[in-house]
Amino acid sequence: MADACDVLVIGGGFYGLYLAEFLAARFDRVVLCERESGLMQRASYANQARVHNGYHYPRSVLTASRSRVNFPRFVQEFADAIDSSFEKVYAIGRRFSKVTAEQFETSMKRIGAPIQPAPKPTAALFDPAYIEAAFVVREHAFDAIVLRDIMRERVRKAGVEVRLNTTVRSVQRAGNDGIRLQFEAGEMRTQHVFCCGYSQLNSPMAGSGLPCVPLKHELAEMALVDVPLPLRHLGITVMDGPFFSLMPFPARGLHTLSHVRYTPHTHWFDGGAEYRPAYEVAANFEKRTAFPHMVRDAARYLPAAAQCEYRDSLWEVKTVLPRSEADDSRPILFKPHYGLKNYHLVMGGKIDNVYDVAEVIDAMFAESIPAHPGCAA
Amino acid sequence: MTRADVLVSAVAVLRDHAAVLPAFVAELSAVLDAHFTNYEILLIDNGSTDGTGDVLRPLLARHRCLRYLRLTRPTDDETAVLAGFDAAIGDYVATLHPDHDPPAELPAMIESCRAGNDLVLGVDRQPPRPGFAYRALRSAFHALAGKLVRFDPVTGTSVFRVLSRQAVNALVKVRLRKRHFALVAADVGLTTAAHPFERISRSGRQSSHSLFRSLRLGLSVLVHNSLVPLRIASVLGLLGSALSLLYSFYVVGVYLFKQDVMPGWTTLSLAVSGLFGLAFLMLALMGEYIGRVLEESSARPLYHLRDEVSSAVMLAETRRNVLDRSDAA
Repeated sequence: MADACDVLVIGGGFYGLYLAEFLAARFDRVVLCERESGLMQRASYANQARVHNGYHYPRSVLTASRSRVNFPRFVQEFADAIDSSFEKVYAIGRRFSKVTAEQFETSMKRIGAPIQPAPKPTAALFDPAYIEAAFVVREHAFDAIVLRDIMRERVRKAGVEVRLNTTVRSVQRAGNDGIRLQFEAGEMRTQHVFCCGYSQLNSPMAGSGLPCVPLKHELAEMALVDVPLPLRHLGITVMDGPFFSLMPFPARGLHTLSHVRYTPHTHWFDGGAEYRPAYEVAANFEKRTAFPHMVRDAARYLPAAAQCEYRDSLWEVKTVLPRSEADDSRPILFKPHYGLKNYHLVMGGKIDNVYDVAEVIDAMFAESIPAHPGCAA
Repeated sequence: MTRADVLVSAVAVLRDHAAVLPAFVAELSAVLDAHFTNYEILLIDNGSTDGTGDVLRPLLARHRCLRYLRLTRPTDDETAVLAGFDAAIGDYVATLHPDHDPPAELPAMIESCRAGNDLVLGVDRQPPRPGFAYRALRSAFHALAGKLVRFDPVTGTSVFRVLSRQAVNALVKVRLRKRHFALVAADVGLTTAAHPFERISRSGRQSSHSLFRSLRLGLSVLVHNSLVPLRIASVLGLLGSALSLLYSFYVVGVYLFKQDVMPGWTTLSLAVSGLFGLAFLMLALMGEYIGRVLEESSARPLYHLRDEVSSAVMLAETRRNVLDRSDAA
């Protein structure tokens, strides 16, 4: 007789943990399985650690204003993981930018995001031949390690059973509404599956011979750098085109330097029968750092960046929806009952946007399933 | 051989070079890959209509560090090169003609640039020899241009060049609508070295000299970069004005000393010469003002800094911060 649970969450990243805790309030037995040996090891750790407040999306009012709504909530809920000790600067490139400084300022004011021209000493860090204007804004970073500890504690309290080093090989229908999952060793029966695998989103589908969701994967490199003194208390993003970000990375006490042109080293697509195991592709790719390119371009806009000392690189698979490529929007993908009844896919690109999907899932259950008797909600 | 730890940007302007593009990119990236740890190749498509984009797509999959920038409308090649300079990130930026310039020369040229030259110019060892009329006009133009504008005829002969980052930073600040590299380089004051090379031809076509195109270019060089033609017009205006004044005196003289003057001739002549004199004077004055406006509105910085070096010691070792008197010296 197979092991059984009510809900199984695939993926121990931030989304998986958050949803597992959220679902534990509705269901008796929630199990979360993670293929790595720890929680939040992959893309939830290796990212820009940015808590978005809308500034990143001047050309998508929906994404920008949802970020604005979620920002205070995230900052309050995870206050211990938030680093707000630095000044956040958005600079607008003079050439090749998709927005002008005026358009940027106007669109931020329209969504009510605080924005001010950068004070003289900060603005003077930029080369006016390359930068049209610089603004000081309200945006923070999070410490991925503190965030992981908070989430680990929260799912423990909620009674979620966490299984590390556990990879789901395949899923299949069992009985009327049930789903049977095949692990490397053993199997399990469950009512609902939420797959929050991010770059591994399609992995159980591919293992079961079911069609994959169209996704675009990128092997992304962020350089971890020690910045010179004038940049230490700053987080800098140059918008809006083939530019760069120099963001504090609290988990390592360094900055990450990422560049729109040099951070993606290679890309590939999933969709239908087309599937390549993302971690294997990443592991086999020759990882030659693009830091020399990133830092030289950054130094044209921000001369002090030339003094950045390279320490290390974070390599991770970044996954986006193919439809986001042309526009500026970054929606969360939620596909209920994908391929199988009660098999749901969730994929978000931004940690701080998790609230939107939680609300949508709530609405789905409210419609189709009566709330669990033990739950007050 | 160890590879130099610099980042080199190679810029090539494409205008219907689809046929030679694969060979050019393959050769260029082989040379750069062998000699430099980091490099990028920037291809600026200046309005090609021969399917350059289609030829390029497989190249993007094969070669690393390739960037393809497409201008929305064709412009002159000097401006296309400027777009490349704006986008290039290298410590050294090379420009090449995709058909004629041999990438194998680049390592030596970049070495010369690293030795302290802002600009290393590829100079063709055996430049194509145009016809007699062309050569005569060309030497006349060089003599004239040498007087009117700061101009070094060697600088303009080929696009095969290597520039230092400082030179590129200075050049991109000059944003003239009609750019002439030789003039801008002379204006910025780049230290220049020549590098002789043998021109090749991937397509088998020889570059030809068009007298008409060269004449137009020469005229544009003079008109856009020198106030002398305008000054000549002003001087002619003043001269015309002076002649009109003299003619007025003559008319008055005739009126006073001659008996058989037709009635009305004097007033008519005075009116004509006076007005012409006034008109020429005004034209001369306006010419001067237009000259000032041109100077002020041209998008050139007032100066370019080459670099700054400061003293290596703060204070002389022998000085002590001790006084032997308490009142003001």
